[in-house]
Amino acid sequence: MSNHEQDDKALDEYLEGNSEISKRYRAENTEGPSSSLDEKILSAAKEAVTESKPKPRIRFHKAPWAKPVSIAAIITLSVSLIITMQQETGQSVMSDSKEINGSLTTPAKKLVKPQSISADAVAPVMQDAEIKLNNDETSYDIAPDEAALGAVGGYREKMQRSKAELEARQRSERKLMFKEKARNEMEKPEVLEEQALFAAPAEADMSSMAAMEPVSTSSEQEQLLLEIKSLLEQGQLEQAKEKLKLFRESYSDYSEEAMKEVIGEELFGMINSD
Amino acid sequence: MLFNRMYLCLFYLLSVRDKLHLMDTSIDSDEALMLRYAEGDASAFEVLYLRHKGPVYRYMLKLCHNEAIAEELFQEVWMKLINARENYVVSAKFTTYLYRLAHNHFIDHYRKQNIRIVPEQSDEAIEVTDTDCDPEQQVQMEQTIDRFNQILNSLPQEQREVFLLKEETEMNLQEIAETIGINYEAAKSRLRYAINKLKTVMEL
Repeated sequence: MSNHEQDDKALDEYLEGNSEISKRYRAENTEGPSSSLDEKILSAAKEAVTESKPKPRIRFHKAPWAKPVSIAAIITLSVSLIITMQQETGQSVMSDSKEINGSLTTPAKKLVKPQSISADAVAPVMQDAEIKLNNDETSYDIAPDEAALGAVGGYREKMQRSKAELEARQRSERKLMFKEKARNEMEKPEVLEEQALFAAPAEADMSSMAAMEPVSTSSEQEQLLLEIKSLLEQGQLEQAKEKLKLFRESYSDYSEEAMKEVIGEELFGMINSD
Repeated sequence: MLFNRMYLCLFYLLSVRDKLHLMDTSIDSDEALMLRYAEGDASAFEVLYLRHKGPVYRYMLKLCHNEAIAEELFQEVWMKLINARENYVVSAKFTTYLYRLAHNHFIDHYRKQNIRIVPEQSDEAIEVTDTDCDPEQQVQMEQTIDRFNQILNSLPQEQREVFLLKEETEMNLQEIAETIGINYEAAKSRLRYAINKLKTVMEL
């Protein structure tokens, strides 16, 4: 065994403890500081503490505010977790879209009425809207592919789900927009006239009734002319002439030919001959 | 999934709370005593001082071979500890902290004095007594002890310091190396030389 190995062995024996070297050292060396030195140091330690007594450090779990703070922290953490989870699972998105859909139902139902009145008038506008919507959808189709490339595992599914929901929501919003646009188109005067022409009176609303006004005026004119005609038939020529005069003053744009058609050619010629 | 996360959070909070409690369970540890002293508890310092005064004093005495200087250095080390109480943070064992303070103070003292630390006696100067003669048992023992201390005092300061730290503090080699700022192998080597020399005395 070499010297180095012997030294190592001796060291290992010493490190294991209870070696003769340690015993001898401890038996011989028992010195300590003098008692006066002890007193000096201990009094210095006491003085140092009393001179500048620092504010006692309050441990967190011993502090009186620890419990309320812990509870508040737990509540905050829980609430934020719930919110985060809802956002991740898309519950909030769903609820939002539901809210939007719910709010859309009322104006949508309102829209149904004029649509039912004049489906033919609305058809071209709705057709345009559908075409635009389909064109927009093509741009959304790209998004899920990108998400599928970037996402990993379950997160990908989640992303796709939320994308689909978002898409549906946006689609419904766009539908609403185009429906509103259609309604605006319908409310234009020319469209309303068309509605008035084709609509049944029972289904017509106040606006369409307003659009019916010119029709009711023409029937009134006809009524007046029919009255003049009956006066002529009864032989009351003077009264008929007066009424016709009033008619011409009030409806100056009413054509003579139309009058002739209603009253009849012979009777009309009888009034004008005098 | 949501509940799993909530459970994880609660588990983490509870484990943190348990850790804080665990620190209190070892209330009589050196570190806890020092923290209590830093908070203003003078009695904690007394316990700490009584626990370590002997080893620190002997460490100083054996390093400088002069009782007066040893007492002076000993007092200064403890005063340093007292003054540093507010900045004390438990980052290592208190023993490591205390002896690092003592080691640095000893080195600083001798640097200021511009004194070269040399052993009192060289290995060659030690006279080996003849064991073949017939002295009394007591005398033999005394002589052996004297020889042991002579050898110890004649060791180079670096080797003597490692041996003293091992004997007085029962630190392991890694902790000794950290205390005096050397690597593990250097500490082991120094201790090996010290033990080898001391062993020769024991075998005689």
